[in-house]
Amino acid sequence: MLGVVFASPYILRYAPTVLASALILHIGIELIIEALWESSQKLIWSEWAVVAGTTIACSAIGFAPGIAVGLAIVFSLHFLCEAFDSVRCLLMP
Amino acid sequence: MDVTLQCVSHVDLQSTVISQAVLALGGSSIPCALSSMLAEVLPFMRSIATTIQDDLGQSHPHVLPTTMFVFAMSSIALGLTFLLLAAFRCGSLVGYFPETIMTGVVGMDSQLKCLAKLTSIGAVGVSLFILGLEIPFPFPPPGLSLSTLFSGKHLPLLAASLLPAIFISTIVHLGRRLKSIRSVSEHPLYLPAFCFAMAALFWIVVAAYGKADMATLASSGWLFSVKPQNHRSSTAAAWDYWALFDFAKVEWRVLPATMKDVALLVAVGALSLPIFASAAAVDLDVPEHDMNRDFLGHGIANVLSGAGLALPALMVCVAPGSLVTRLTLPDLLKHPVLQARKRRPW
Repeated sequence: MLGVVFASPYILRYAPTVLASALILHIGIELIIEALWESSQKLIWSEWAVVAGTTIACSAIGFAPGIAVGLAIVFSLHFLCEAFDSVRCLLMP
Repeated sequence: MDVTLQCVSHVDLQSTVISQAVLALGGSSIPCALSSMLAEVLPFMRSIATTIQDDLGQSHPHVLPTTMFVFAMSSIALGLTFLLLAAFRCGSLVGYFPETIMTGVVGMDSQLKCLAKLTSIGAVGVSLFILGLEIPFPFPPPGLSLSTLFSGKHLPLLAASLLPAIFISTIVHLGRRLKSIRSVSEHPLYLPAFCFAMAALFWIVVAAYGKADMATLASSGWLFSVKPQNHRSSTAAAWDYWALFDFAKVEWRVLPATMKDVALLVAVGALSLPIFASAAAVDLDVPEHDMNRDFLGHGIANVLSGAGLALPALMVCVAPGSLVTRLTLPDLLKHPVLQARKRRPW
């Protein structure tokens, strides 16, 4: 195993770039499927909207603003849910 | 794609080795914990490197030592954060997160942390996908855009990289549903065998094509263009990445610009450790899982790894029989913290 570490510059010359690219694309595809598809099977649509919105925001406008956008969506969702519930609590003491 | 590529892989190995040694020597209360470089911080690493590069200019000789120093510093910062969390006994705070935050002003709960993990996974997945699309470009690389991606010259490269990736993923997902290919897709050597087969197929096709040699292949993007070893005019071997680092060459004035990314990196890493460690403890049925010990162990591991000029590291969970390790949402939902939240009357 250590031999592979030290021999890697020589092996790298013969490795096709498409092989490395295919591996990285595979991991990226797996992560995207797990984050977007499998979570849609488990989460309700409003929470899945958080996931999807944050993914798109992170990819489009950078990681830090994307996480902030995700937090903003979660806060607004929680606020809406609480506001919805509080109406019922007011009307039915 | 020269000496720096091998150095990156050796930095990854370095952080893996150091953190694995610390965790195995008793740094974590989860038995047989595995650890490797923290992959969620890769986008932050890239943006740090881009910031430094934009500030200093592309081929400024101080870019590489400064970048390495910032990476190591982020690793040390993560380690210190973990040690602080362990010192303040915040390990049990993970169990209290839903209550305190539900009654507090902030509307987050541990489901948010899971969502944050998922979204980080999604965004990391997207950025990895884009990285994978950028790799086969010949050196010097034209920028990645829709026109260069689908241009006639690049289309065979794109097909040869995307189709095998889709093929691998399809086999893995079909294997979860169909029992007949499960023995192939869940075999631990499935991915390495695929890689070797792909490399062999590549060279068979090249040999059959006849008139392509190494130089034309490298210039058209099929092979990595490896510059000769004496590019850096140092006699150090390729694996000795410490030789590339010169403390006197670190440009201190670009450091404040990278602080934002370092802070985010530390936050992401610190948040992800309780999630991963708790889920691993639930999965492996650790009787009394002491979060503080995990914080302590990971803190030491990251500080040492930063001292050795490597990247942050974290514990990963291995599902039995799979080569690529990831947590899925059902594992997270089994966490007792989340189940306690479901039992709440409101």
